[in-house]
Amino acid sequence: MISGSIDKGVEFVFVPRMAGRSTPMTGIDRSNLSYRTILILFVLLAAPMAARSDTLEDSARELARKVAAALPTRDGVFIEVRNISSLAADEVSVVEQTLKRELQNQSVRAPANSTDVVIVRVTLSESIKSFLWAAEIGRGNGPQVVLLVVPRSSENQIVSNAMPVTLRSEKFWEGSQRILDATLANESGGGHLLLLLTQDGLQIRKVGSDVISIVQIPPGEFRMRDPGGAITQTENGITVTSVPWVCSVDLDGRILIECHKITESPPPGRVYESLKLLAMPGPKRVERGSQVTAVQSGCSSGGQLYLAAGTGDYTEPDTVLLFESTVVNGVIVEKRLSDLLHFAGPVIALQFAGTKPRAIVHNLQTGNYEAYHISITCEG
Amino acid sequence: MRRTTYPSHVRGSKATAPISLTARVFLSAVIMSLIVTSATASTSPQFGGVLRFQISERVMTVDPRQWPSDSLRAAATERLASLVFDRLVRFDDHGVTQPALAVSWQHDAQAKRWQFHMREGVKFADGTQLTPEAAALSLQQSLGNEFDVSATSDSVVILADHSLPDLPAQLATGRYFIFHSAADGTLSGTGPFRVSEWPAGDGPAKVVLTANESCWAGRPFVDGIQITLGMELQKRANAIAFGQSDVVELPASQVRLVGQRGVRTASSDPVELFALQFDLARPAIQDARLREAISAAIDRASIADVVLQRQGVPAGGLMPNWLSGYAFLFPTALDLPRTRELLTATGREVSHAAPLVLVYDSGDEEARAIAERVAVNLKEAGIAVQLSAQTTGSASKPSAGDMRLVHQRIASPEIGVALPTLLASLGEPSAVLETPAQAYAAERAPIDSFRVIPLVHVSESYGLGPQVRDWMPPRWGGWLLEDVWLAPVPAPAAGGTTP
Repeated sequence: MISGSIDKGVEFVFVPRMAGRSTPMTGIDRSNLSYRTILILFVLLAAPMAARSDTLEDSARELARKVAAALPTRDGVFIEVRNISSLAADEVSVVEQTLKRELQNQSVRAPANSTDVVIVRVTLSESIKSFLWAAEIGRGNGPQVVLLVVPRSSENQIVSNAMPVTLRSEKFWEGSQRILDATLANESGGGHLLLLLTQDGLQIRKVGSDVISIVQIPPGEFRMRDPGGAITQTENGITVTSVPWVCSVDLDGRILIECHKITESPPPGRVYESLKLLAMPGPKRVERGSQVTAVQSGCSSGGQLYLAAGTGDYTEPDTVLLFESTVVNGVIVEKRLSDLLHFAGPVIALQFAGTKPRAIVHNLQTGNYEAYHISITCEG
Repeated sequence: MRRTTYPSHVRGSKATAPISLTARVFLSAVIMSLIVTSATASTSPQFGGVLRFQISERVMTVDPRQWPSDSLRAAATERLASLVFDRLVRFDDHGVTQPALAVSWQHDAQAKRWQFHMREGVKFADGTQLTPEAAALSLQQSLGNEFDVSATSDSVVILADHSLPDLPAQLATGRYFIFHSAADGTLSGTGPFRVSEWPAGDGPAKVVLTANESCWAGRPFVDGIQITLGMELQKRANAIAFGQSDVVELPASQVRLVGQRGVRTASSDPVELFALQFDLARPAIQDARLREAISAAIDRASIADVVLQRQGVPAGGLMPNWLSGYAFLFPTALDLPRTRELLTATGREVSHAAPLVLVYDSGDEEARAIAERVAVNLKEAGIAVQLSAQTTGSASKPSAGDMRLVHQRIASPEIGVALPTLLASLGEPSAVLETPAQAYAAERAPIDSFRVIPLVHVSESYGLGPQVRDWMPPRWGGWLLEDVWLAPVPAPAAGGTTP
């Protein structure tokens, strides 16, 4: 067990040691590696399910206090707010209202007349790493500048509505780390867990806590640049598929129980050519890309339902739609049932493993990976 | 299905029931789904093919020990070297350092001693095992004697006599690659490609890279890359338009034109800076009011919109806003009344004053166009300028003119590295920058005194052929050619006629 904590002046970065190993392991390696469970503490860079509005309001209050402290006078202060960042209009409104309210709490008063006005120009900007809010106090060549770094997090919902079935997506995780799958699970003690599957292992995060456990999955003989994996909740617990392994995991103990090799690993290179194409049922009537998953829903009229992503590559925004495949007079017929559910980046995985369908998306605007639950609602 | 057994003592204390039959059936469906989605992919990458690439720089070598001092040439060298070598750490899409050949790192309270724990099981392309000793030897040569680099059984230790808070970010860019030098002097890396051919000489040359089948991070999708170095602009533009190349580097001013020929283009965020730098030893421009008058007389918006065809943004600061977040605090607007006011204050006799000499790099087409526009702006404001095209090997202080048009590449997505690097290349003092306020203050110093006048930030741009897929470099430019793949060429319709 390795543990560390954020300490003043000391940085500790942990990453599973055996990630990407390309040479065959020895038996000793396996026993040391495969069941090593590591508990670490760290501050989340992109906290899942963070309440963004709270962050913005807290930051607005902090900026107001800094501005108040820097003002030459607290009377006759005029505040201008402009936004050149990716904040939405309603978020800007929240920031502006909170900022002005907190300035009032700090006894900063608006100008009663047009003379002796101190202008404070607040600009909501952003850099690659964070929001950056700047308050310029006074005018002329040398305004005093107050800068505040505001952590970036986001929360939104995309809704599509039209055809017989409505698809809705609800984001339940976002972060910079590439994930293969994500899901929420219940802990036997009553708590909730966020499970994130990466190419290196299964991260188990207790919701509402910074405590994270990592259960390492044995690496394959080679590493793939376009890996796949899935988390499945079964009656025995959690099963993780990370090609070429399928492993069962004890969530309470945060340990790997056992792993089986599901197939002989294809040789390095030309992975896709080495696999025989397995045709989806029926002629390809509904346009779809590489990500397709069968789902269960009461919206079916007797056929099999599928969620499918679009046909672009990984540089393009993507969509998900629902279609039904039925056999009519011996011929497989596909019928699209939903409008397109839009995402701000490619859907790199669609999963349905017994619970809600999930989409893993690489958001091209933020660069983050996002996990969504997709709900399927029958109209009428 | 092959079953791997494990010692019972590591199976945990809870019941270790094997996966049930129902679960196995369900899992089989999941596994098949994973395989199907990979196999039938139209969006998933495909392997094979050779990527043809043309760039303008004639990079002579990717040897980290022979790194060019010019920032543009260094950037081109870095792009090529990153195909062959890896570093200890890398940047993710957010500019945050992430593991590469090192899997974790830590430092002492003063950030003077850093320990990087190495990834196991990695081999160089020549088959040699990557060891901490090999990594330490590489870094010692790149970092120089200012640092003491040593190896332990599983890690590399870097010691310095001063604080290095941004060391991981520094090691994620530039020349800090890990390499292995064979007895004959041949260099090998752990990157996605290996060098098959690298012609000597000064003229255009075709470099051939081959996929590294045993790359620790996975084999690249293309089988190889042919990169033609030192290609002229017109030939590059024609090559991409007529399908003779898959990717070509484009100057900003050509992006729109090439796009109008039906070529797909891709541009980074602004990552290059054009700025005027003054030689304060020259009497003609020692008056700061004259330098401020020059700054106020330049129409940066027209340089960005007209000269650079909207592939640039007016720059008031040294760092672009996407990197600093505060660039908007620096004014960029044309202010001719202020110029006239300042010229009057200096008592400069416009009609009798000798023209100021503006030096630019004769080999840089964009620099020439921008210098000409600056000269026009200053002439309209009453300041005569004489242009002087000179060959510049490095971005040193101006020596042959009153002012020099400098063209610099932003070196890193980490402002704590990028700004000090740029300031140093401009001959300006710098300091450790740990907060935006410190960076802002460091940037203000040369600008407020008008020793440097930023003009425009420019994007890095490429023309992409129709087969190129997953061109997704980081927003600050560069290449990720290991992730690029080539779509198959559609087969011609049978019969040759269309109903």
